[in-house]
Amino acid sequence: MPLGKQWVLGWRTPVMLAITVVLAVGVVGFAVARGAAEEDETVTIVYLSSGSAEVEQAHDQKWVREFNEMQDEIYVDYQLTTWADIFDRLYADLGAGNPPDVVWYGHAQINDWMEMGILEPINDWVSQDLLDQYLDHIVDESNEIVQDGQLYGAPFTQASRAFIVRRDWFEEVGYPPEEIRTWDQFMEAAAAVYDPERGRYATTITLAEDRMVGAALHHYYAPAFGLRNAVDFRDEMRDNYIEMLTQMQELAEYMPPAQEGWTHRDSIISYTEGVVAVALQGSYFQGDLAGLAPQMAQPDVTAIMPVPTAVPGGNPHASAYTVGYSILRAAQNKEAAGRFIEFMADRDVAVEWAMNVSPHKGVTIDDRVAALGDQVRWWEEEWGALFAGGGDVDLLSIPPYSPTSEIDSVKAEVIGDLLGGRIGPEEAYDQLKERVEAIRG
Amino acid sequence: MDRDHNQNSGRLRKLLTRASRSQAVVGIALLLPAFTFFAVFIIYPILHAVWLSFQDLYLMRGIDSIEPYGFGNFRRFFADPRWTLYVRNTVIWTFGSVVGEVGLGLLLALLLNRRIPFRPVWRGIVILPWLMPPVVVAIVWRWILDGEWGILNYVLMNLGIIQSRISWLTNRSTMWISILVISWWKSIPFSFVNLLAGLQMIPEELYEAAIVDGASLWHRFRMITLPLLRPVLVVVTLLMTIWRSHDFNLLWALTRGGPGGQSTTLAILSYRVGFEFYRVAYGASIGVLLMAFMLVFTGVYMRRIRLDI
Repeated sequence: MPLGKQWVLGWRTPVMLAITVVLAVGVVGFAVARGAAEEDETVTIVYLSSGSAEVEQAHDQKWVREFNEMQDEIYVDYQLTTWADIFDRLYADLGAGNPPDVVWYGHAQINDWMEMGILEPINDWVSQDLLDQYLDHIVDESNEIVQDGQLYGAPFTQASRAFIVRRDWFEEVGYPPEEIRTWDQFMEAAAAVYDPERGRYATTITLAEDRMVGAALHHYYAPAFGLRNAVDFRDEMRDNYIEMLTQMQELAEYMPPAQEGWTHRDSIISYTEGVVAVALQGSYFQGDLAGLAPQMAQPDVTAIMPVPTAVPGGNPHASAYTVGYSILRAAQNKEAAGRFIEFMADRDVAVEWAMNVSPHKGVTIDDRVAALGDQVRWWEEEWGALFAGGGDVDLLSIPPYSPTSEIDSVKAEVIGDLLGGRIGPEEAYDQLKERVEAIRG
Repeated sequence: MDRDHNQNSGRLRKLLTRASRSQAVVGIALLLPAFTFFAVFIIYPILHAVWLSFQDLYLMRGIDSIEPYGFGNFRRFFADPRWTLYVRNTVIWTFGSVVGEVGLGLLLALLLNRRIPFRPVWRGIVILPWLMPPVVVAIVWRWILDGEWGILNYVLMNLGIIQSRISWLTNRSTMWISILVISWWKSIPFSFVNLLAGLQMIPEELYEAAIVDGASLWHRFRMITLPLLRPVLVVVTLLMTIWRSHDFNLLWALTRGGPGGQSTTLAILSYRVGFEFYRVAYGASIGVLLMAFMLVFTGVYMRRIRLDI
């Protein structure tokens, strides 16, 4: 038999051809089946959630399933990512021309996304009834999710930031949290509670995660020193900014050196393991405390303390922001997306959200306890007392800045050098101002 | 007779031509899927990245805002006051990793090529770190080396070797050696396996003859082992250098390029700039620079080694 013929008719050739044919049929079949599915009358929308915590996933799964079962016109395809990955995921989907319809926004995202023009105002896609449910300051013109009178997100939760402190430690050294109102008092208390022999540090800034450094400056330090936000480089505020950096450098003496390698997870553990006295956490922290250290989720151990002020005559502050749902401008099914948001952001569904406080009017502590259990009562009461502070606590909606990630990376570098003593406050200010302004153009 | 012979050879030539033609057609048909895959997933992305590095694309201005930018991205990189830090870090990470991984891998291969008790068990243990995903390795080592609750500090303090805790992965003086030790631990198995295979290819008789001639252990290593292991050593070193230069997982999971950018390599910078800061084209240009550096290094290395590949 000639060589070539033997080769052509050998057993390998038919097998390879058969595999190729099967693959080709599979690809064509998939495309046809997909086309047929698209012709179905049910509209499918993609819901991209960043709620990767266990309670968040449970909430999403429960209510998405409920929505899919209660009607058959819209099918919600629930997809999960993390806050850290949501940018990559969203841009990849947008680049591929296949964006999700509904996406989670957070404080760090929505401003960038509005600037980029990739969000659709939700006013036209949800009812006035839903908008009327929200607390007035959320739909106010000055809120971070409102631009040109248009609302770009439907909050399902309202987060707030304050100092979470070890009441027992502070009381032990003679500084009850309720009596600490000024920055000087706080520095005294920090020095008193600092006891490295016992492994006790005053507070921490988690330097290995840029966004946490950004959040520390943005929600805590900058407003305490009278700055509008962490990128307030107005000439008249220069002294305030430098004073803030000076105080941070002094406070660094009472911080754990290991924080240079810490991420958000480590900062949580540093509090639950009894390493730091003050955690820069927000109203979502109850989930971590109750899960990791239930013995510390008690009012006699942990207290919520508004951030002390360094401004003469000023008030301590807490900051507030929301997390919720947005619709992508490139979404294929905006009407269906609006209906889904209307369902998920509704007061009766969102009241079960197991973190933070409710963004809706008329939701009482008893409503939250009925939805989530008695263990949240003390937490809700602490935050409730802080919000209703009788005018001696400022509840701030701090203007966000953009682009968040790049500016936060600069802050992490400079603040790391400042706390490490490698540069002084004035040099840190000059570096921050120059580099941040270059980024912002 | 001659005519018959000519006819037969003509027929044979035709048959062979037809056979080789059909063989070529089948060969091309079978290669086509692999070639298509290669072209779509390897060649096209590389060419696209090179093209992208000469554009300006900042996602904050919109995904359609792309426009030609010439060498602007490259100028921007070299205008960054920290570019030398990023290049230095890339060099430390790449060559620090490779030197340790190949050196220690060779040492272990030499040791476990000898007849020692429980040799298969030792060989299995050496390969174990290879089985662990880089992210898991990073998480485990981060806990071991943590400055507050890391077990290494606990052990060293109890032994009286150190007096206060050290933040191994963030302290400027211990950061790189800690990172490199972890990298060696993780990657030694690759060089070990290859070098051990190379050692086993060296004929035993050569060593026996050298012993008869009175050669010392060092002379046997230098005159027999090293020259005969050279081809494997060269390939392992080259591959590991290329891999390590753009390695991302382990370093990212360990330090995320920190603290304060102090362990940021070009690979990490490329990712951060492109995917965290939305400057996609600038990120691509840093990737292209890294590729260019590695092409130059590989060319010089191959020329110096004069390896015929």
